[in-house]
Amino acid sequence: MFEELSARFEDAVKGLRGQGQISETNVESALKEVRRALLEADVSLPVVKEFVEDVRQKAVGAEVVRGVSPDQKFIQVVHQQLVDVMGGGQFPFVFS
Amino acid sequence: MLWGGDNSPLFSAEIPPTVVLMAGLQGAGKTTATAKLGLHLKDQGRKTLMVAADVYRPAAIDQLKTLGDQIDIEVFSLESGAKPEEIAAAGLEKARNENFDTLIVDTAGRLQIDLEMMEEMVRIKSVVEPDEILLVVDSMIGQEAAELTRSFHEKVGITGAVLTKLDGDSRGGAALSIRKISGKPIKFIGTGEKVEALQPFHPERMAGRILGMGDVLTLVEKAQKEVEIADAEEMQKKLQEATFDFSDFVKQMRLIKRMGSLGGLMKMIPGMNKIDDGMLKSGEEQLKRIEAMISSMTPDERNNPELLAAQPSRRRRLAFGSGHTPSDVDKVLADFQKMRGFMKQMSSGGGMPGMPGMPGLGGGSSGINGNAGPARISRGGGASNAPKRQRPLKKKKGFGDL
Repeated sequence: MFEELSARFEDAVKGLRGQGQISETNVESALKEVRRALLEADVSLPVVKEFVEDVRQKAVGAEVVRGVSPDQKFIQVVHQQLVDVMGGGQFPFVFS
Repeated sequence: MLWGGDNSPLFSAEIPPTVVLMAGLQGAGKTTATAKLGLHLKDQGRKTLMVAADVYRPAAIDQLKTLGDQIDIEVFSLESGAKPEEIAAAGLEKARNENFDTLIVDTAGRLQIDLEMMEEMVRIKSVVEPDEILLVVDSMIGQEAAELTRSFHEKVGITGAVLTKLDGDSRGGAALSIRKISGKPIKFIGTGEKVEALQPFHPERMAGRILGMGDVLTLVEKAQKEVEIADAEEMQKKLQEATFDFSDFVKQMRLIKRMGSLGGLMKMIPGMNKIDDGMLKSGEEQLKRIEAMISSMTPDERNNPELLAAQPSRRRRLAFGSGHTPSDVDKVLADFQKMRGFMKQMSSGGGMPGMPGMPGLGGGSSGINGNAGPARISRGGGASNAPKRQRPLKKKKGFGDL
């Protein structure tokens, strides 16, 4: 499942490889890719807008620890955002 | 920790049963989801009753009954002519009287703009007073799923969604939109046609999958459900001593089959998400061929692969019995011997020297180089004696169930 979306996300991250840090300029193209990936996956537009905005805020200026490359950091931010969008936790049944 | 382990714990109120009401559009998979959920709850040790309250679609009640028979869960319904709310009420009555602790009510498919049908839903709801109302949504409809969830919630008031047919959805628009737009969580996902193919929805795991990080947790849970620890220990011993034989091989294959498709499993392993579908297919085909050959073996041969290596006539019989050529059989046997050696090497700490000779994967090109597999050494006159007439490949024959 989600093969297309996965492939798109991967492309988005590629651009950040080899960069020293995440800056406003280099993150922009990655974000554009993410936005396209989500839209092509038929995600609802308000969700896409919010998603991209949140990723931008979290990614730009994020401290990249030594040993972690910017693309890895970016993946982490996107991962966190995906979890948030999908509900951030599992919802158990309430048994009576 | 299938559900609730990482979140608020379950509580048990004074009066069972817990009532689950299923709702959704036509063809979303409500009846199937009902049975899947029933099995899921049964696996957790809950005594479940399923109520067939879809009186509109022909054979909907029969479908649920058939599914119920398969998974050994009782299905309740009334004679034709009864209204859905009457069936639901009678089902609830039965559940109370007979100490069922969970009741799942399957309803007819309805459009959210069909006022009459939505009112019926509200009536059913007020009769059974459900603890959970699950909206079953087909993930193929993409972001529309989110709007649908919202409008069902506004009209009936749901507690969560079950996202079906997710195995065929390569995009994920529904999974990503529902929560934000409707405010309602996805509680379960349907990932296949089999009754076992229902999983609780874990956003972290799903996010991991989307980003190609695999889903080891789900893989482990699946394996734990199927693998007996004693069996696993015995198997490990056999691998280490290189006494792994064909009957063990069949056992392993069956285990994998119970866990789902080979492709589905491989994709949960990190880094394997991009594995080529064609490769998987040829792998699965190869496995089928091997299974056919093993079906043609006598019990002695299964337990003692050396017999086959020593006697060409046995290999010939195998080839005809399974509808393959003698050289196909030789190849599989050589691969098997190689695999044994390789596993021994791995378990004795020899590291991982690539993955040579794994039968089943690699499309059958391995082992063709004719190196010193015992099957090759003793081939000798056997092959030249082989009758010239060749059977078509993969001729089906009625073997007993393996």
